[in-house]
Amino acid sequence: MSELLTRAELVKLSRVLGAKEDDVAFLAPLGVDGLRKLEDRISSTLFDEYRAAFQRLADASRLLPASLVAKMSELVFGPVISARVSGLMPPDRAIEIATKLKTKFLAEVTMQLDPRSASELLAIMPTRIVIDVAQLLMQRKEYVTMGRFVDDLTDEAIRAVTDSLQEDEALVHIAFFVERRERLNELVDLLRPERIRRIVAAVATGAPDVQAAGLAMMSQFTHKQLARFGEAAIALGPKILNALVAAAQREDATEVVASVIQGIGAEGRAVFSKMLADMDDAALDAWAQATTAANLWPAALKILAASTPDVQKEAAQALKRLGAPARAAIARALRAEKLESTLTAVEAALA
Amino acid sequence: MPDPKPELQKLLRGEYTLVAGLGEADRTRLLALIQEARRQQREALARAQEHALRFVPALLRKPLLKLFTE
Repeated sequence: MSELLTRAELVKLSRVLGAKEDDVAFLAPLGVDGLRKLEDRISSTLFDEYRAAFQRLADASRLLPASLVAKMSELVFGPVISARVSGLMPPDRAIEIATKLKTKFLAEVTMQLDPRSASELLAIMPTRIVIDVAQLLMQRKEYVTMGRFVDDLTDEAIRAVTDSLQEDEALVHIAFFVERRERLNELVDLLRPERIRRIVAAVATGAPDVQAAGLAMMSQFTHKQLARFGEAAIALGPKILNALVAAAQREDATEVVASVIQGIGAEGRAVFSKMLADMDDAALDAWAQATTAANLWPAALKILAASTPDVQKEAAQALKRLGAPARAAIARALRAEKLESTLTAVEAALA
Repeated sequence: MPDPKPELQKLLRGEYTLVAGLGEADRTRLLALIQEARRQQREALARAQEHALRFVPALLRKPLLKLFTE
């Protein structure tokens, strides 16, 4: 999973350098933390080289009306210099100017803005502007830019943006680039259960890059968010669960799916056993094969161990229908996890 | 090909140790990427200055130039 997170950092570094992602791939051995520090250092070096000139431009702009500064930004300075200068202006003045800029230009400035130098500005940016810019960035698939600003935008702005963006796959790509793990979890906390179900389905059935980004996102979740995603995955049924497991296998990230399904609460456990009971033989067999191949029986058995005896019996009846190889794999996991005495009904069904 | 270490030490300041473990060829590539980013920024500033001088009345050109270069 660290490989996926490293990929996200390489994309961010390539942006700072104005290079292509492939051009910085050789820096992957530096790892996530090393790449973050390097990007931070290079970003500061570039900014500091002309900081005095940027500061003079920011100071001089105070002497002119905001509408004229906005016009000059669009016609004269361009997005790169405007982004550098805006971080050095008093935030309320920068907002005043931003309200007079065309959304297209503001989106270009946003792509060049260093979130670290503009955090105060972002925290007070009017929600209407944030939504307009976000929609334009979305059209351009500017997920890196959007993800980087999640740290500093208010919850109100983020909720408004996520409500206004209907593309679930895009939200997954954006989440992949969020800088701080805590903020990513707060962002997920803002999502309604229905949206989470849609996102899980988008990850499970999406293209390989969506699946990879989704698994990397889930690997950063706290127990609470794992539980919400796990319950959504189980509620969506075996096809979605199997697709998620297959994606995790391909990305060598089965531990992520194990954490997701292990995180579910009492309600999710009941749904899980009902899902097993409701599967026809073919679906049950496909699910069992996927679970065996991804070595997820320990996680599945832990769910059953935490379930009520009735749920365990129902699941045991379902597992009884499996062929000998799958039953043997479950029996091995049962012994390895030392759950024989807890899951007596399951052990009996496997005999 | 000159040793990239002194220039990278200067550009990365206290963080040179981050890249010290890379081979010399990779450090040279990194240095080239940073230099290219610096060049792009220098050009963006020069373009802005050129546009600004065209945009403002002759009377204001000198003070404007000072903003960019002083």
